[in-house]
Amino acid sequence: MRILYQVVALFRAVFRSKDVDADLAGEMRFHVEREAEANVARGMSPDTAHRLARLKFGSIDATQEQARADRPGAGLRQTLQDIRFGARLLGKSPAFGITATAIIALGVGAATAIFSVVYGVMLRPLPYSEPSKLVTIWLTRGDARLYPSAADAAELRQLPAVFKDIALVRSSNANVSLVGDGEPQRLQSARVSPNLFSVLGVAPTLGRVFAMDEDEAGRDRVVILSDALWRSRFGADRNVIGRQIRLDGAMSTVIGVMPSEFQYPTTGLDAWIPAVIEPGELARTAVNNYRLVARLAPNVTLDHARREATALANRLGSSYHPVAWNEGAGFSVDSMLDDAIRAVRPALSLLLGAVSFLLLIACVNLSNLFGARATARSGEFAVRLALGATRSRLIAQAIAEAMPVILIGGVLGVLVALWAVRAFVASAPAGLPRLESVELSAPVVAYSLALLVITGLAASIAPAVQAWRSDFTTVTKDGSRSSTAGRGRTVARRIGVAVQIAFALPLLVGASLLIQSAIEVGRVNLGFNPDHVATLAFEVRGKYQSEPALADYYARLVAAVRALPGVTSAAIVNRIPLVGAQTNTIRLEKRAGDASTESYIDSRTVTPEYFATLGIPIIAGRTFTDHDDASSPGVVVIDERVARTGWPGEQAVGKRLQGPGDRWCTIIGVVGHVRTTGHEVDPQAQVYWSTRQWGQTRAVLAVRGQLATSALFPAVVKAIRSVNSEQSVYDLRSMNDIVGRSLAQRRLTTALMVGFGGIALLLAAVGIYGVVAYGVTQRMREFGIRVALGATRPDVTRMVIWQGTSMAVLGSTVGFVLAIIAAGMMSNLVYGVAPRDMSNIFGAAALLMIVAAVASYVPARRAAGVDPGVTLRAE
Amino acid sequence: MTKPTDLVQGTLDLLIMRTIASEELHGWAIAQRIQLLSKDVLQVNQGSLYPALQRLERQGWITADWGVSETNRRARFYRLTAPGRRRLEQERADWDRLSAAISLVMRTA
Repeated sequence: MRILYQVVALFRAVFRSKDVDADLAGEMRFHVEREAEANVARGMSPDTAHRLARLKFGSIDATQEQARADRPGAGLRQTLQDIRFGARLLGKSPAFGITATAIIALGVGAATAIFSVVYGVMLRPLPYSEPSKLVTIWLTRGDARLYPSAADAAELRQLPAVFKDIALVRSSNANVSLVGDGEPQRLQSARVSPNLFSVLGVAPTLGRVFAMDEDEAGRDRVVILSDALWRSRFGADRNVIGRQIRLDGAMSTVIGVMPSEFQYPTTGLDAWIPAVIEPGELARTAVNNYRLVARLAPNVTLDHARREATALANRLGSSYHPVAWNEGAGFSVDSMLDDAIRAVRPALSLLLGAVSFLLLIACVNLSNLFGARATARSGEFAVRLALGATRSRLIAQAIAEAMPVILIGGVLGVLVALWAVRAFVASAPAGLPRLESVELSAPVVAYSLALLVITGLAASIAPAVQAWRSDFTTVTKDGSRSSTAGRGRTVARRIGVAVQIAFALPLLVGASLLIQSAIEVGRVNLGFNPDHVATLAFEVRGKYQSEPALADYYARLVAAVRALPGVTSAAIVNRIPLVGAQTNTIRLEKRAGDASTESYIDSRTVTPEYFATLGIPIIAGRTFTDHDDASSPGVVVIDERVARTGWPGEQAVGKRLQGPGDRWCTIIGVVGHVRTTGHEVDPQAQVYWSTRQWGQTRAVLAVRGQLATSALFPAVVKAIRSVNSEQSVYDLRSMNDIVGRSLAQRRLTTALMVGFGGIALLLAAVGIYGVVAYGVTQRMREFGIRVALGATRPDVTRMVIWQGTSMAVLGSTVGFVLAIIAAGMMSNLVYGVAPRDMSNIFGAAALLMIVAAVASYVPARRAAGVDPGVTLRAE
Repeated sequence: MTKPTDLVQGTLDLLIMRTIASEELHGWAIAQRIQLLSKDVLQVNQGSLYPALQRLERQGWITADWGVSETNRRARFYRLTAPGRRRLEQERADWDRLSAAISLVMRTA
């Protein structure tokens, strides 16, 4: 009951403050009137009656004010009033407002955007149960990391005290075609061991996961659907469980549906099927083609697991796995998260560091801007202090006045960040891991709020200090004669500019290093000519799958495409460079009876015109012909690197090597080396086999034409359909597009760094301009006197420009150290340039000096244009 | 004696509540009534009266409405709320006990 009255009163006090004021004023007026009436009744004249009544009552205003300060929400109302005042100040100087808002929006926006990517990719825990106990296991040999084999997994499973369970995932996804219930559809399917789901600790949304024996041949016709496929193909039908679907010509049973956030081992998967491990895969020379993901046993640390795995590798030694285990091979155990982000960690760390520097520059800039405005208002502060305002009241006002800029800038910045992150996720370079977890999450929001608090502090600290130091006598003295007023404040602002320069320098150096690296990477010769080459992928199914039929099928496809007008050559390869790879172990026969083993060789099966189509030069010998078939002796084409390793200084053509299936093949040709993994790393040499001697059903058709590649595709697809109307094709891409994708991540990093460097440069220019221009305004009288005493105008110009550039010199000196440290940390991001290249750092410093000189030139012109007559008469 | 609040904390609140216990009064009348009933000993300063009224209103003990005064002017009339009335009874009992105790001490000591 009482609470009801209180709530009503509180509501009125806070939200209807004006009404309460009016009530109070009304009743106090009435009080005075009533008193006067009473006085008249006592026989006074009306005038005297009123005067005495007012005298007795005392100050209405004072009572009103005391009641107001007593009321709840008084502080809040005061703050809101200050904020309104701040907004009005902004309206009065829009240039200041726009600059400050833009600085905040840029700083907060860039930092929030980068942080949301960094958080989503690098910091957010993986969406599995107890993700910190999950590890990946790789085979290492020197610097190379290889996929382990099923045999390796079997050995590692002998350590149950270390690894609670180990799951296997085939290194490449399978393309299975789903037929029936509509159009034939290619499904990207992961082949996984049945225990994958229990190792990761994930559960299906519908149905069940694989039973432990469903990786045995005969029991393996079961499939788990992705959420996306379940919705798009099966209309989210909950009765899909138990349904028979036709996969690759055989019936499989749908047993489960995974949640949409489960995206392992790759994003965009359609289905999971059991990986059937053939008995041959447990042999010690088996192909290395599994990813291993394991859950550590309770109380086992990563270090402990590493030691145990290394001990196992040493125990196995050369007795085990004679091929892969030579030359100091071992196991590499890493946390699953670290492993997933290995490729992007350096770039993301760099960008986070860069954006932090940028934010710092923005804050210092902001602080200087607000500081300058506070100086301009020092007179006002001093007068208000003298009239009885408290210092804390002035400081509170300084903070509140900065609020409109911070709020508008902050909201704009977060909007910019949201937009940028959305655009980034939509167009991110292929292969960036964990993109699906980049979103506006609670930690990101908290981060942005923290940024707002920081920028708010930056904006209000200078005015607050100003308010604290305000002193009526010095300020009023300042305003009159002295021309070197507020020396301390000017120095603080010049230091601020120097700090901005110091932090801008490493940003510029970083951007410059990345630009140079990008140019160097662009110059890398990939070993083939991607221009005018169109590619498309397909998978051979059904009656063409068996080996002689497959070779004929490929020959007919190539012939049909080759016959198209504008096509100069065409070939089929099992995997196209930069996209896919297959790795084998080979033995090179150096002399009769003396063979050396080479593991980790890139191996491709190709049709005869492959080298011509991709523009790979044939250095010696010949390419395959249609006569190199199953009935003739085995032949192989090697690249120049294998030739140099096996037979240095000798003719390799005619020599022999042993390939998969332990078959000895004669080398018929040597071709140029190709960078099959990417522009920057090149670990693998290549060997090529004839599709007629080693048939593989996964195929990429490459076509070299005279036309633009996009114009080729319709005719090529039509030609394929003329051979086999049921052949589905996918991934229609030009070779240049593939090359571009392999550069995309570097390009993006470079573009962002250049953007940050540019913004830093702009902020530094604004900062220098602001401080120099303010200094010129303060010193106009001094310049007038100097000119009157005989200083020439170029003298004055030089003086002012030096004032600006001297800050850049000071800042660069400190920035130099920062730049060297930053450049050192970028060593794994640069390519073809020395990170600590001094000319680079000096160049960036020189650029900053030039910008400082240009930014100072405008105020310098104004200073030089001083008319001593006018300035000296003023005041 | 011009500042009753200086005398005993909360005494003014008690006096105000007591004066409006029997009828609705406006601010001036409250001050007059206190002065009258105390035989001019207690003079309520308006600078204390109005903040006190606002405070009591916020605490939910009293409430006010605009009405017409005895001289036909618009005035704000205060009255006790039901919780305020209960509060007054309790405060009055406390006051009686306290003042009796104090006078007992003053007389005998």
